[in-house]
Amino acid sequence: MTASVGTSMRRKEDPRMITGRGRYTEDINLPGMLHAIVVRSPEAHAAITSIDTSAARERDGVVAVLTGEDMASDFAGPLPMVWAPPGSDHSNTLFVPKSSHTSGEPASRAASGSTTAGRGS
Amino acid sequence: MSTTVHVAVTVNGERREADVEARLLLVHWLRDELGLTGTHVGCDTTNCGACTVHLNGEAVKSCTLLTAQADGGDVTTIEGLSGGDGLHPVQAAFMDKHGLQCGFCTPGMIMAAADLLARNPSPSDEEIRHGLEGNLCRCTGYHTIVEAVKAAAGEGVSA
Repeated sequence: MTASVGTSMRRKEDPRMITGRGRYTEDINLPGMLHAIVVRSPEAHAAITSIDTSAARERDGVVAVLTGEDMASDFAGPLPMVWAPPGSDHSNTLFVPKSSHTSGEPASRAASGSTTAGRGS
Repeated sequence: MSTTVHVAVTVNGERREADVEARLLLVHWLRDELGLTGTHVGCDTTNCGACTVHLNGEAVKSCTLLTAQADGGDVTTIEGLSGGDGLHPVQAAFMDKHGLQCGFCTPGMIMAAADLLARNPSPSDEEIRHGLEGNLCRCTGYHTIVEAVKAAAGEGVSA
């Protein structure tokens, strides 16, 4: 024990990270895996009247485009939080169903077989 | 929309040929087609430098280059930097000086630092910070990264 006190410790994970052999989420490639791209609200506080997903759906490789409306029955409630700050009434939903309160809240999500199709670039 | 171009690129010393979409970014070719996932996409907008590789000996952000632009060129990624099984002096210095924490920005940092030292073998602290200003780290902070680059400079890093 005493040998480790006051001395620099070599990290076990460093050799793979400095040689490009780290394994981050985006490096994982599983059979049949889909990639999801989150489309976020461009407005800080706005009512969503409609979301036109037709162009996204028509792209090659796009499997699904999901909006708050599509998910209302399954994920209507807020996402569970481990701990909410006292007095806070903030809740996070998977998708914004009707109105956006914060710029950057997820308005819709596109899943595709490749990230290139999902990027829509 | 899907015009393809033929490219022949030397990647980490190995000649690779492929027909790629004209719009395909170099980083996506390296990661998705060649499986070289050590080069990371941090921001997609040329800010963070996690995708830094060497093209013809110069550090470039591979999310800002088309694969077609690398045609005929020589690309080195973090996987090929040492040119063998050992560590490049910059890689060894990052480990020795704790120049990384989560490691996500590290490949880009190391590639940028290796290019910096190839051009300026004995940089000052200010020159190191200026030289790495296109690379963002969100956890370790820059102090130990600068220390790592200084240590590597002492090793006499060659291009």
